[in-house]
Amino acid sequence: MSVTSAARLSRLLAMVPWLYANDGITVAEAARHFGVTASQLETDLWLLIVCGLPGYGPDQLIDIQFWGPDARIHVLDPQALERPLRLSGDESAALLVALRLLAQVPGSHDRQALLSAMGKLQQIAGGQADHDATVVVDAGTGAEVVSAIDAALAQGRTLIIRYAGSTRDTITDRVIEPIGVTSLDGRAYLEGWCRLAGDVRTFRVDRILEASVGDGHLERPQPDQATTPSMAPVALASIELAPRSRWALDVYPIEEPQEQPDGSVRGRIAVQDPEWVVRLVLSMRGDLVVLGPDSLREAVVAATDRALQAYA
Amino acid sequence: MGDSGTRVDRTERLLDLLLCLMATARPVPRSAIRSVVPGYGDAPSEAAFERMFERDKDELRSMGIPIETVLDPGGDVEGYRVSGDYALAEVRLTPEELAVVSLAASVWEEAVLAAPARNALRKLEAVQDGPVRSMASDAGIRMRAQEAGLVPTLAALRECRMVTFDYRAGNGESSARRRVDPWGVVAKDGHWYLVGHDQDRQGPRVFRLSRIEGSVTVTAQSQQHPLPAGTDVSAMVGQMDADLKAEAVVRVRAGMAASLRAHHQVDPFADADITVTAPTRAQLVARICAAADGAVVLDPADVRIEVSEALAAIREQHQGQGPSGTGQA
Repeated sequence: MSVTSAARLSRLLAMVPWLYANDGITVAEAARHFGVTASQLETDLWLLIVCGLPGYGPDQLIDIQFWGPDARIHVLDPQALERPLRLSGDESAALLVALRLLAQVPGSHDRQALLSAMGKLQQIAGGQADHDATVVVDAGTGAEVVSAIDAALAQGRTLIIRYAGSTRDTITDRVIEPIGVTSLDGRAYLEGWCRLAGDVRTFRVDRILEASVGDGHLERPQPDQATTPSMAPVALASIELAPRSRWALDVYPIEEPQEQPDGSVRGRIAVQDPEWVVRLVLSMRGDLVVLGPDSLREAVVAATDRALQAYA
Repeated sequence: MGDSGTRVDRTERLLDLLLCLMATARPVPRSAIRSVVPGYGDAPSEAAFERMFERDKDELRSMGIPIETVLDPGGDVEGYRVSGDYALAEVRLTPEELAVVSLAASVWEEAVLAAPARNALRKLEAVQDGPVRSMASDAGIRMRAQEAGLVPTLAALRECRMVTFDYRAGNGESSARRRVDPWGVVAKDGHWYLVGHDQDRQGPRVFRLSRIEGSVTVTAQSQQHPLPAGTDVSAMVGQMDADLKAEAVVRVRAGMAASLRAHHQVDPFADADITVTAPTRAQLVARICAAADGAVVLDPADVRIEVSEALAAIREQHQGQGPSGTGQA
């Protein structure tokens, strides 16, 4: 309950000065900017107009007009809320942490503006900024790699990368024709046409060891010529997990887990690439066993055979 | 959105209280607050008013609103006011800066910090010259940050206060109550972590926020073990429990064993002998096994034997047909 009041009050406090500065905006547009429905925004406005300064006479209440056919909002008297209050700790942290992330993610955003905006926000946060400094986003991306990707994307050129792949655990040099960058939960991904694979691939930017900008010669087939991505259903493998390694259920996408009488868990895991499952099995020291399909069991045996040759 | 009558009243009362304290530079005594602010008219007794007022005052303070308690010459509370520097500074942003801040605000999407980010952007827009409203851009950059513990942990960090929570460690143990002086919050490898001093275990620890069960409570107790100067909180994530160090010299094959080669400055396309470390012996063996034929242990002999035995055991488990034709696509 108190969370709701505080969240709503925060919105109201940001709303009055913003509406005052954006005179004549429609209810619908204002609602979009505050991430609420139009009816919630109207409920907020109805609450605001009964609040005000002690005395609470007509001249002391917040005065907002928001009726009429076009539902445009006019703040006639914002009382003490003409100017917004300082950013709260959460507000300031939300922006600064996101800006720190953007600084580490390649893309088309303006890096100079990013640095100067961060400086200005830190300045208005004052002493609070010292605490915000211990809120860290670590995307694991190197500054040189980020600027090489930025440049290749901006100039429409190739990118030459040294990549530590996780599926096959190998290091490869590749020529990529970058398509775009996305980022989820603090990790950055580069999508591009990979000449080595002859197909579109997604690379984790923190696994790119080195990157440099290549020439402007692009070979990527146009989308209509490109092989359509295979939409074949992903195969599922049946696995059994030993009781002491049940933590793996939190970490890997194991579906339909079913506990066995001895405490072990059987389930299924999606096989995007058989190599990945083989590595997972090897890393679990016998606590994760593939029950089927047999082809995947054979792949595990083959991998151990190759590894054991060195110890023979 | 399902706001009950009482919640509307509380928001209204908080706003009236805030405006009352902002209206004058002179401190407002409690008695005046009680008689003037409409929401307190409902309080059936002095004690009930005191409880409501204390809670409201804390709420406003927790939102970062600087409410001062002013004492009279005798040392008694004369009244309360919002200190003069409550307004957002005149911060002018260029269109380019506003665009990148708007992009930053959009990063949170559905996350617990989405509303604070949006309100912050609206506040900044309101202090620019003329009407400014930036539209949300979509650059495909997202932080989901759904962990309920994130917001209270950030507040405790700012206020240098101890937090308590129930924590389920990754090794399958049942959850236990922890008391922690927060040092920093780190987003890394797709997770959010709290780094701090664990009061019960008497040392620095790292906690994954998604493993906290229930809520994080910000206690009234001030931090007793502050962040040691020069500590890199980000570096601490992933380095913890590193006291029991296990290591082995491993030959990694050219172009292979990328995961073991990380942080080693060796030619990736040549065989190399490197020292691999892990928090425990078991994890060391697991890391080396995962590299398959990309790595072979040279030394010590017991790790060499353990790795080859582990590989042989996995081979044994996977020989022949699997049980009951399961696992078809």
